[in-house]
Amino acid sequence: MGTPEPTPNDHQRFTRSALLKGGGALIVLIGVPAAVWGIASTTGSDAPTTWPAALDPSALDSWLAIHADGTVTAFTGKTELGQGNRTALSQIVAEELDVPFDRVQMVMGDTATCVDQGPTVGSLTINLAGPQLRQAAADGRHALLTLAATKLDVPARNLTVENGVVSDGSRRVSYGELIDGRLLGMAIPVKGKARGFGLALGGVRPKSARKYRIVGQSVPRVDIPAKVTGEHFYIQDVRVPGMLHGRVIRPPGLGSQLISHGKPSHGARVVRLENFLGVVAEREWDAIKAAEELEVKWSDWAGLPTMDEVYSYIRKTPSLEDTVVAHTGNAAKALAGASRRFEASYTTAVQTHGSIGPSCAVADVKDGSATVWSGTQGPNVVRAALADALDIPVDNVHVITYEASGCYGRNGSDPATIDAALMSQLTGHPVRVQWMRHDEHGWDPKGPATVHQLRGGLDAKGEIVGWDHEAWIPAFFETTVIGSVLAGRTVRMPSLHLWEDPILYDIPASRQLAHYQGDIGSAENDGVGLISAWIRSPVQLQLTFASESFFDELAAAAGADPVEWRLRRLTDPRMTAVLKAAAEAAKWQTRPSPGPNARGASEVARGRGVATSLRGGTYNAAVAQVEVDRKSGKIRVSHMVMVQDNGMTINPRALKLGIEANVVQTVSRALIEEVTFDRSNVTSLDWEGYPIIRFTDVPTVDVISIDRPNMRATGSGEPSCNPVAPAIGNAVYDAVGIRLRSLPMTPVRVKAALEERAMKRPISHRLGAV
Amino acid sequence: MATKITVNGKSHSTEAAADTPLLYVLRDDLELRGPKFGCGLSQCGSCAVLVDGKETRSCVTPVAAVVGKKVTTLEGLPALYAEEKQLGTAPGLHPLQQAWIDEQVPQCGYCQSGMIIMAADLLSQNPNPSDTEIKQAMDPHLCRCATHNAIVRAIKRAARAEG
Repeated sequence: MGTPEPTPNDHQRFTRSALLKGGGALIVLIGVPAAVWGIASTTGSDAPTTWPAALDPSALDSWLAIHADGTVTAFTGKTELGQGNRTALSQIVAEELDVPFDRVQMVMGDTATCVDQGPTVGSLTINLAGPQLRQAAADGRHALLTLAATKLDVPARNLTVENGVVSDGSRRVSYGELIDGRLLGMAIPVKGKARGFGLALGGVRPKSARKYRIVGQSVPRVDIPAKVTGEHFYIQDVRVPGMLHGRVIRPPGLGSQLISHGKPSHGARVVRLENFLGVVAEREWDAIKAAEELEVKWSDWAGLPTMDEVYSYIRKTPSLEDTVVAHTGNAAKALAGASRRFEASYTTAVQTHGSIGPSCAVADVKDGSATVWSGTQGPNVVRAALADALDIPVDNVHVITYEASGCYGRNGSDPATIDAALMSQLTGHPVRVQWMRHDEHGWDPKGPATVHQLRGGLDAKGEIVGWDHEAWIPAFFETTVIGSVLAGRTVRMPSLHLWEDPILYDIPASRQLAHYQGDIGSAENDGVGLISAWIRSPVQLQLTFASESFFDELAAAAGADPVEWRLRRLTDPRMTAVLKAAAEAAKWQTRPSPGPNARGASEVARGRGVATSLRGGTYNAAVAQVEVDRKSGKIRVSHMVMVQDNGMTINPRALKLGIEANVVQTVSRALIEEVTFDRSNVTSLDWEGYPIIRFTDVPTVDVISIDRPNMRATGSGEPSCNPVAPAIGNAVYDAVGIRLRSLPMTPVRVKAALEERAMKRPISHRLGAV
Repeated sequence: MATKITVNGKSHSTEAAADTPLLYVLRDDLELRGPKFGCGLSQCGSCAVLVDGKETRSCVTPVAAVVGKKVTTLEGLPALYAEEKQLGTAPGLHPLQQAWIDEQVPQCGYCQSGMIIMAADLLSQNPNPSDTEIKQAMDPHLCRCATHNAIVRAIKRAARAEG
């Protein structure tokens, strides 16, 4: 009963102002066990620890703390999202510092102690934050060597380091002895921006990749043991003294207004600010019951298009901005002069992040300051949003990040964080908010619907002469935070819109045109529609589905084998190598699609399909093997081959397991996932309304990683999702000769396409395409 | 009125209302972090615990329903294993937990407590399951990170280790 006991992470309740009062240089935290950071204790040391207060990226102490016992704490503004960032970044730091891997701990995503390296998005952590930490660690090693040179009175160039011990050949001194409880106190040149993705550090040259002993090794992930014993602290596990449990009560329609509410049950209190409504109670179950039982009157709102008309709605809505993303030659002219012209529309459905654990946050807002525990991907982004929503200075907001249930993009974490902060500010108590399943399915920002118009032209010899890809995609200059909107304190968080990579193939004339659109229904509700935020991989999963499927349509029209068709037009040798490796691993049989039995009578038809993608410097090729049940329309993906070249690999095993999981998740998204909605709001509010893949439908996956140790490491969290859906669609075409142009590729759509063909009518656009 | 329940071999008394789902007693009163809130609808399995050895969704099981029964959470698996095998002291990890580490199963890990609990139930009934049997048994549990194949490998590894 009553207030839960404080958990060990309670020590983190120091505020930024208290931190700065600590002398502006350092703060001493007594007795902080290593385990509170969510990692296994590596030292057993509970000795007082010195922490850097300065967030100035040019101060080495902002990045590294070398402890007297020789252990190292590295600080990063990035967060762990379940793909192993904590481990990989630790490997990079240990490698550059020449210390054993298990002596490095990471503090991640704490705005008071970690430099802002930008949010953990876009598969940009290893790619951009990796080099930042590598440089800081290289400079840290240099600082320690300088100390050693003075102490041993020999030139630094005569010194070597092994396992954190410096030696001149005869004498040895450890890092711990050298630092002796002091700060490193060295400045690092900042070459780029002072924060975020563009932050670039200078100084000594980092180690050559040839000398790597820790980077490139399959070090076991440091977060895993606690995740299988139940000791791991997720954001859902954070408890603070005096805390109340809060639950939100959302409107039935996106634009519904709160008219009135009754009295709360179960001893709960109602928390309300304009249309922002919730309850708080001492016991969690009381809060849940009270939220369920509270009588609330809302106004009706029905400003969304129906699901049937959503794609034409998207096309008809005036764009916020039109941008030619890439072009070569004059595509319109080339298409006009082509011997054979092809055109098709592709669509992709609204999808949800579907985190297994609904979003959660704890906030303690009082006296104009806020301490907030969040599962956010972007501690500094949500910090600014909190300051706006609470109307307090950003300097008074301290965001402490804990790992949440996997998000794969911006799920409910940020809006739940704002909910908790608003409830704490309104009640004067620390409040823990966890969304219920219907909140997460209903209100996490959604992976948006997109529409694509593809045009292609072949000359008399069957060569591609022109290509045009027009896409109606969300603008995502910012993402709206729902709780702030309801409370009348609208906050929009900066976001990304990323159609970056040009088409992969050598085509004489091509164009990629983006029509950036507002959220669905936003024009009908003061800018707040079906709030969207990308699920991996931002816009490219949708773009690649359209382009790689249509590229296959042209291959089929030309009577060409899909792999050869691509290889002939690739100019980048890394892409060629990836595609060849995929074809080889899949034992690809060279022939055009559809296959010989595509119009056969057997109940199950088998086919194979291929697709490629380039995302932020990472190359992927996928081959899907599918079985199509002609009777039920169900597609079963039996096997996937995924080849990836992301340059240097930090941790081969973690990389491969991450890719395997990403592939299976995308098979789910390709085949079955679609958010349903009516004119008012989302209607798929649980796992029955929005099913995801289950064990019995999971394909085997063969992951092949092409390691290029001398090249920059690019991202891996997202890229491998991109070619999955078109590889499946192309395999279905190979199996049964029908072209699926809408995601997800549900049995209903497959059956409809097969029946239409059986009736010898052309496949119309009834299948969801425009 | 206090309700007495036995969790991980220890007796606990809770003042929670009798209709309170077991999950909230485990998490909020006993401060166990293994079982997770996922859906509250018995659809995902992240809240799973063993009740007298059977996988049970604690998010829809009233605390009053487990009075007189033995509840085991992820945290209690090593001790349960020691009891089953009549070992003097509990190992640090249940063989399934060790296999989960050896196979590096989790991504975010949020669902894995429920997965390991389900696997423990499966292996207690079928010590040497085939891939198909594993997939069928695990089918009611959801993993959004999609670590299904790694989970199947880990269960086979644990079965081999015990075999």
